[in-house]
Amino acid sequence: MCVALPMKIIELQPESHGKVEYDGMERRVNLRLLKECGIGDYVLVHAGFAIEKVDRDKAVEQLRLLQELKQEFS
Amino acid sequence: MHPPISFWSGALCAAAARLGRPVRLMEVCGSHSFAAAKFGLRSLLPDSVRLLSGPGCPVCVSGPGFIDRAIALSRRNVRVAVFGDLLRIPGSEGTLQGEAGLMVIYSPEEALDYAVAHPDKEVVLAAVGFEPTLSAGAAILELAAERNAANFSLLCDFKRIRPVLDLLAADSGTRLDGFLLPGHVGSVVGETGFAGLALPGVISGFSAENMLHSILLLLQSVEKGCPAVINNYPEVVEASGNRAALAMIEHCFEPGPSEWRGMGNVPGGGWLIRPEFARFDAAKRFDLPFSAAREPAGCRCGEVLRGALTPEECPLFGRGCTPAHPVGACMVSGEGACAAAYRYREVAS
Amino acid sequence: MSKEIVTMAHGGGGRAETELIEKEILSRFGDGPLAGLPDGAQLPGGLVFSTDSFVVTPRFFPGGDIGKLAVCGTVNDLYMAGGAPRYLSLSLIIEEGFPREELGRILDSVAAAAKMCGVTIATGDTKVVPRGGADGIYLNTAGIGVKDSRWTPDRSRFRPGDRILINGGIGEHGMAILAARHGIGGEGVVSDCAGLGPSVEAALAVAPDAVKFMRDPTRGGVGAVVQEMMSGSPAGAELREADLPLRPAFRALSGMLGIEPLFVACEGRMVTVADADGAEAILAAWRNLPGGEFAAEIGELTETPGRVTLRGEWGGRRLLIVPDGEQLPRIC
Repeated sequence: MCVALPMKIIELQPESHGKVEYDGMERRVNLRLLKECGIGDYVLVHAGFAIEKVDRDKAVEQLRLLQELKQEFS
Repeated sequence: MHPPISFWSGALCAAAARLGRPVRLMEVCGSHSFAAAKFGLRSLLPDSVRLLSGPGCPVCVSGPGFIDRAIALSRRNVRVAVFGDLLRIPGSEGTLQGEAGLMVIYSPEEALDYAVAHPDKEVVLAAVGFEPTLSAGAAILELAAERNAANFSLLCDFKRIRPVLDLLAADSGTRLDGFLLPGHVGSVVGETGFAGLALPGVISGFSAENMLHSILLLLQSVEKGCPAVINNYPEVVEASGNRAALAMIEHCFEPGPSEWRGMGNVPGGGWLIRPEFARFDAAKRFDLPFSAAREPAGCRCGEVLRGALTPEECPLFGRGCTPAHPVGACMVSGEGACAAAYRYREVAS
Repeated sequence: MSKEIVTMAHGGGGRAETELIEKEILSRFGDGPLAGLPDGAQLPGGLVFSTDSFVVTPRFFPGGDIGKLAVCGTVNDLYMAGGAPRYLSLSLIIEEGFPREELGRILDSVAAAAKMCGVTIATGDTKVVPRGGADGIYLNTAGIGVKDSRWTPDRSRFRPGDRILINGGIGEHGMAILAARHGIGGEGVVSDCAGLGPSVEAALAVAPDAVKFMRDPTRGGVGAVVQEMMSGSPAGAELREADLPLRPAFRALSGMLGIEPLFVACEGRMVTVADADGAEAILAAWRNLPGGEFAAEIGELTETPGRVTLRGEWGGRRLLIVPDGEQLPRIC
């Protein structure tokens, strides 16, 4: 379940809405499920709602851990 | 860039060898079923490691009764809005496809906006799902109340997966060693949402590498024999999840008993609309009869959903039950275990 | 008297439609040029003839509209049938109450597309039906072309090792339509709706003898068209998932809507089977065209007649299974 995509907030709009973008695709999204968020934040978008923020530092860290794992193995 | 296939099969074989015994893991997320099949991940697992598909496909576990109720509404001149997933799921006597007044939407807001723009029409959003969709459902109930959308209501069968995980962990027939846990459910419920499971679990995202990495961590966890939950999707899963979303869910819904196909009635297995929002509850608004819909003859979706039977072991799989002519929901839903297994089954060159 | 009715499934391009066509159309008209249901009929005197109707909503979408589609759709069928398009008819069925302004915009688009494709609107018809009798406006175009002497579509020439090529990114039209229906936009989300003249010319200019077959992957997308092409042919095919060209905005869209681009309609693409000798030259020629960066080789022909397989990104080989009916946005 849960087809969802991380997208970047490029505009904030009234009534807890915003515009998100990824690779040249844009949509209006409802941000009311997030306590706070701002332009430049990445959010996980499901059914037109942002359901969680994406922590890019952690994403980068995950990739680094994976690289380490591969190096250890070889 | 070539996927590092030999790295992963090597690493997984090594982990399985250290374990030294057959291991049964289960994923409980339709998107994991779909990804595992599409990427052919099982072919990278050693023979001693089985990855079962559990009841993670919301349309599969909801049962034909939900579709019957949606069709009944449509016949009462209600505009029924659904996500595409529900369109071809069989009810007792047919599908929603072709029903007059049906709207396929991507977001619940499309249905609410339509209702507000057409106050003379009754609009029902018919939705199933787990916590991510449930969050959107809570938001839409609050929005409907704020916008006074008297002609809008929600027909829902949202499921709560946690009690089912406990049942599966304890099920001697299913004999599991660990869970691959759903990453987007995790983004809402957090690590705490899975705390206290009797078996090890790894919260996983949906890329091939992330899933393979998660399976590797799970094998290591099973070896240690320690039922902890490892968060392998920390970029979207926090320790306590999305508290604002959880509060909104709490505001609009309460846990209650729910029929899970294949598991029977599960206490706390579903989310019911709270009495305060009853005016937006389509089941109450339209006095819909609850039909305990019959399973089609020979259909063993229930056992497949519990992991007691693999799709290939079902006598109807590929013989009488195919994506073109599905018997049960596991074959219709694009992310049902059987549809995924059928579409992506390996053929020799 | 049978009480059976025609349902949406009969227009859905799957089993139901096949059954309808066989039972109602081929049974009555299947002798002659219609046999085998080619893209365009080959008529005596070196003529090629084709028709198509257009009912799409929304009528205006990023990259085009129903008018442009009506011209390009039939023009492309004529090219795929081995012809050079010359003349189109244009028939309109308009619902009472349809705004004249919108009619004007659609017809302006027809005119612009016809000019771009080098065809003349030679004849036509207009009907108005009462409110509720049609969804806004329906268009039909029928086209006449002249057989191109440089090549003939011929599946009997298929051989294992032949290459399967495509002149650009996949699934763009269908996904642009879905995007328009569900409020998704962005500069990258544009239908590929276009005439195939430049791509056909480019291929025939460099390697006419290499080209064995071309078909535009409209409804059902590349997956459906490759399946159809191989059915009843002397070869099979294997597509390579990793080589399917997909523009980034559409990769994102498919991730957002849960759609498989392989089965989504294109309106400016041609799947081409060419022998290995000519394939490179054809690809190079396409890549020189504006917007041609995504032209790619996506697979090759194999030994097992009629069987189409898909080699996954992570290895593994599976049968290509074309889903029934239109792909719709999923959230699960």
